[in-house]
Amino acid sequence: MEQNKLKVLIVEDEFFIALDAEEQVRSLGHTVVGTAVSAEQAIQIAGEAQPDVVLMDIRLVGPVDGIAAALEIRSRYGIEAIFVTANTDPSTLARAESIRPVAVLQKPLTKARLAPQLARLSEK
Amino acid sequence: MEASPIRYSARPQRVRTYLALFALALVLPLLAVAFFGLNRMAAIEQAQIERRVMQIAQNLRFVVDRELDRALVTLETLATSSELRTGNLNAFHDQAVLALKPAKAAIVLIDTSYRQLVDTLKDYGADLPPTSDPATAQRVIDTGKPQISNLFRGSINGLPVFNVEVPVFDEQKRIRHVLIMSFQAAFIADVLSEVTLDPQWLTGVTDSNGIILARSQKQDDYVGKPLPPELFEQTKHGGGVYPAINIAGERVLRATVRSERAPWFVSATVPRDHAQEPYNRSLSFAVLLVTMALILGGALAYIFARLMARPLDTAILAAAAVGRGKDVQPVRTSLAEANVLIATLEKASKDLTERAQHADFLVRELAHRAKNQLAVVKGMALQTARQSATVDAFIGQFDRRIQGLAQSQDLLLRKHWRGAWMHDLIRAHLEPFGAEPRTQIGGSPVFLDTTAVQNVGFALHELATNASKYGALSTDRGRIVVAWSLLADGAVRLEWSEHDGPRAHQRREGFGHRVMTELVPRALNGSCKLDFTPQGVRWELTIPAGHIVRDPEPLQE
Repeated sequence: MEQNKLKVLIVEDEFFIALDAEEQVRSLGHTVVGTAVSAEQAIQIAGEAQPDVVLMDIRLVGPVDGIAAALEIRSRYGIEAIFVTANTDPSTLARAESIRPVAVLQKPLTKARLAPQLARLSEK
Repeated sequence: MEASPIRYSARPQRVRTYLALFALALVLPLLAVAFFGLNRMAAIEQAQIERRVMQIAQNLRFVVDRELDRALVTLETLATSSELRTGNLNAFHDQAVLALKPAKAAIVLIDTSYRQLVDTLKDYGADLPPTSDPATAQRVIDTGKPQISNLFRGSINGLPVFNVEVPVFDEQKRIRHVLIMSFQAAFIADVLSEVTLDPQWLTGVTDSNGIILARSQKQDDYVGKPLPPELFEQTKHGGGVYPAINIAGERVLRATVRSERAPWFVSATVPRDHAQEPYNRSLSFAVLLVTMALILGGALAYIFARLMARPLDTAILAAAAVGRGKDVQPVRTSLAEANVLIATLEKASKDLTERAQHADFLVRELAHRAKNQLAVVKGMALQTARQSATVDAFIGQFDRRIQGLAQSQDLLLRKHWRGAWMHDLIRAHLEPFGAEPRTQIGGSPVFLDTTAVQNVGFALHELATNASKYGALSTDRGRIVVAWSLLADGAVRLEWSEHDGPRAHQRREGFGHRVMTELVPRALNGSCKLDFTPQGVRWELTIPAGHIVRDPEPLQE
């Protein structure tokens, strides 16, 4: 099975979590093209680095949340997002699902959860 | 302080009931006074009417007696005329006709055997019947004094008449004739009707047999008729004013006075309804007053009750809404107390809603944070493990980092996850290293948001760890100064400087170094500077204004 290397953008304001995610992505054979802590930063880096997918935390520093940022990135660059969230609030989760992301993953992120999603994307 | 509740044993009532009772309590004494006053007025008015009945009877008696006196004077004058003394009866007849003024009278001369000698109704010398009232003539002869008769039918014209009779004496003072002035009863009726009275008033003269002699109204219908026996008894014995039933069967108030000349009774009557009128008027007025007072009182009680009860109902609804956890709408009612109550309830409902929302928020936040923190701890463990040579080293490092994280968590928890004061944050992270006595902390009060608390906490933890291993805290003399200041754009510059410690030099760039120079500034979107000076480490972090909470006070409980 041919597997493409994916360029991944990580959006997470807790750097310990971001570092963990970075390592998981790398260990799965993909590349991390950047880490952003805010929606604004995420949109900017997505434009510059043109990743294949964004690992997006929903709650971010600043006024704009991850769902809005994901929508913006998709509409500007056609890049899909995987939400990674600690949120269990049903209304927020419903809102996240409603924009039809690649997946909504619960924190803590594990390789077991992340691998199939990235694999699915890289096969396309 | 709570007021002790007052216990009422009576059944609770509605506001409108109390107001109705209040209206009654106000109205009833007024009504009692009004009743008393009206009654008094009516009594006075009736007494006035009674006095007037008596006055009229007395006046009429006077008028009737005056007419009789006039007749007596005329008769006594004629009795001494020379024509009569000399027996010239023809001339006397002419004289008598001249003397007659009232048209409804006649002068008659009779002898002691009641034979008529002269009668002015007939020409002198005409054939005359004997007198039809011999009884009165006999009394004149017996007493030798003037007499006035009762009613009887005249012998010539058959009309109801009465006689005024005087004796005529001869030289020997013996009674020779009786001189009579015979009046139609209508004459007295005319006298009565001359006194103008209200149409309801009625006056009358009754003779000593209880026969009606004159009446101020309907003389022709009643003259000659006897009074009902009961009325006659009252007429004879009832002095002053008395209630009676008159000959027409009407209920009247009656006053009777005896004539001083004739054996007659002069009476004045007024219908009892008329006399009763002040009472009736008072009664109707009182009824009207009561009705109006009750209607007015009731209406006012109703209106005021509405003005009070409606707002109270609104307040009750508001209280019920609070009970159901619904919002209370601010409503203005006509009752100030209810407005206060509603406003209080509105505030209470808002507070409750806010608290419920906040509790909700806290629960969700806690769940979120717990999971997020697990992810943080996981990341922390992995990063720590990556740079630890041995398991012991890992355990020592990880243990300290977890402790640092816990310090930040404690602070956040105390402020309900809203943030923490800079001062508290610094102290919390230096305390585990026993650095406090050698640390100088200074800056104006700054309240950091949760992100800043967590990240600045990580940096401070790494700085303190570093200082205790290689820097100011590794010697006895070393000091640390942590100071911060507000920048013009609202950002805060935090400065950590070590003094009197060992000379600092750049070491291998470990994870701690990365935390304070790269990861924390990036997480805060701020900037950082790290210098290694002869005095020790100098670290500077700019925290953007977005992480500073401007007005934290209202958030504190």
